[in-house]
Amino acid sequence: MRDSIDACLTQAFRDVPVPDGLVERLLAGLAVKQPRRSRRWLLVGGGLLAVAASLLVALWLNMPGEERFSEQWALDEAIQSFCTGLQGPEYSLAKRPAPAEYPLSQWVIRVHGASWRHLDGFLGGCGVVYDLPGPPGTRAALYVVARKGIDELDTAPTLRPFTTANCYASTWQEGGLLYVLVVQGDSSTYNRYLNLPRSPVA
Amino acid sequence: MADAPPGLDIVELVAEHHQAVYQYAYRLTGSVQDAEDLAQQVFLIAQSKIGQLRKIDAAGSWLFAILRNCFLKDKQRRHPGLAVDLALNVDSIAEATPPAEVDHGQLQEALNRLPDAFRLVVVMFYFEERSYREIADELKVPIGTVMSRLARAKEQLRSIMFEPEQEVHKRQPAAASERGKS
Repeated sequence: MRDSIDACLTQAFRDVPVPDGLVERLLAGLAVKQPRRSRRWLLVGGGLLAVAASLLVALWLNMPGEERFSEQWALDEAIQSFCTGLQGPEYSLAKRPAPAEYPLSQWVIRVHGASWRHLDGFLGGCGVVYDLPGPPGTRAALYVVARKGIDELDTAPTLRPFTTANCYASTWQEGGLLYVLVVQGDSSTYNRYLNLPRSPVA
Repeated sequence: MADAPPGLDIVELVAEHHQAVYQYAYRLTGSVQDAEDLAQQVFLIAQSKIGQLRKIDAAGSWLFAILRNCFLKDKQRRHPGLAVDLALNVDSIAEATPPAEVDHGQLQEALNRLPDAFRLVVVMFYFEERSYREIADELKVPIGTVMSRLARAKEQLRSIMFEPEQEVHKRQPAAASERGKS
């Protein structure tokens, strides 16, 4: 319930002066073409930034047309999708097998009652997301997509996952596919979903 | 780069939302430089993922969600295992009268003293005007946790902002039990 002090604080929270030239600096940081009103030094700086960014992009991109992959990007996108809620028709794995080209990972345990959905546009590709039920208050999803440019990834999930917003996540490659496991719960919940050999990949 | 929804590009997004994003970032970080860095980070991510934005109307909350993620990730990297304890007496939330004008320095100072998890909840409540349920859903925490964090954070804010004398007492251990009497 909001009272008069809440109303007062709500107003005060938004009352933050914005520094001069913020928009210009933000746009220069994005290396996009800037509208009018820019100062000369800003144009020069923006131009240099754009050139530097272009050089970096040219060096980094060895596959034309392929968006650069990063592990953090995969984790971010999976966690965001997981937190937003899985979309699209859901199929029980017991009743309808998932497409053979997007199998469950050998590193993830088989869970009774698992289901799957088609993924489209996830990390710029297509695939499948498995919904893996767990004990009350926990849940997990395994994203599987065909994606190139994943040489730098581990080949098994880590025991030290990335964690944010009560979610634990890790990504790895297996059989030419990209896997992202997202688990809601604690680290022991995350570990329970793993089917790792005795020498863990940490 | 991903395609933006029709009628929206990153320049427009920056032009329309830079103020709110910066203000939100400032309330979370408490520093002009950190807030600007965080805002820059948010728009860089927004630029790379603009194709994920399905509705123009949702741009503000989408940017705020990115901002919160960046803030939490940064905190997680710097201080793994966020401390979320705030030793305050929830039962002593006092009735107070809002002053005619809020001291903004005091407000930010009070916010800076809150643990990150509490500050995030309180900023979502006051800045975004989100409900308990919405905050719980966004942060994936139980609603009871949100209520408890908010109650504790509000008490601290109020004690610093609206009951300065009590705040002075609170800093003196011997006078701690005096809180909440007024």
